[in-house]
Amino acid sequence: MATPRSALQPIRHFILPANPLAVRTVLTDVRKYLTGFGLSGDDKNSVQIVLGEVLNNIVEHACADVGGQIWLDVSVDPEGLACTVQDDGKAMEGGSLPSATAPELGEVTDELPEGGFGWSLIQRLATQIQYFREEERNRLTFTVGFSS
Amino acid sequence: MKLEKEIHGDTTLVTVLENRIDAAVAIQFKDGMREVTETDQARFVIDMANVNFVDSSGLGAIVSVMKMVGTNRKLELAGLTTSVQKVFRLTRMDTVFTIHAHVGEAFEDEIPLN
Repeated sequence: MATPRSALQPIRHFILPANPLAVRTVLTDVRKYLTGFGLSGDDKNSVQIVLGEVLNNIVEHACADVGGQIWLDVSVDPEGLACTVQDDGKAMEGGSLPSATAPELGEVTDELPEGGFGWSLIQRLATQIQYFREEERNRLTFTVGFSS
Repeated sequence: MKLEKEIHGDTTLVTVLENRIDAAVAIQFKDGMREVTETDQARFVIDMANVNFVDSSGLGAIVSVMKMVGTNRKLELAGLTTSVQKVFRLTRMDTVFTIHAHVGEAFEDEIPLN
């Protein structure tokens, strides 16, 4: 029987080193954790897309060259998956979130952007996104909304 | 990053044998596809039916393959799974690429052997 989502759900903790293969493992583990909550395939895809972008951003930017550790906490709420992601990498540039505007695609093949999609994907699928810098740690909180 | 190649006349069909084109393998995917596209073939079809996840790095790698192919040749994608379709739609990359529901559609004009 599926776990009712209206009941108060516990927080599930994950810890991983900041590298792409560890991110892959955690995404699979989160997907496994979400079975039994009655989520649609589309909602589970949204979670994977957002967490993949957030975690890989940490690997590629905050923890680039310095390595580091990532702490991921998730909790299933009625509206969505409430997430807290902490890392001990460098602070976000400018102290705030990057622009959410997706890169312009334009008409010319040679000028198609190859990057910059990550944050716009996060902004499209997650809400209540907040960034904090506290005591040498970055902390990002957000909710990946469920459509059902 | 396992890519399987098949020649059909002047079209090269590339089947991606991995489940994910993501940050962990984006560079290997680009390198593999660079080898495939450094030929005289006029058209490339990438069968993505095995790929159940593409992130922004993977998307960027696929865009770079389109640039390798260039405007005088064709690059088409086939068999995008639901999660991958979602990423293409959200980034509007579904308007940039020719996408076939499945790889058979990319070869409908081929004369069948009797």
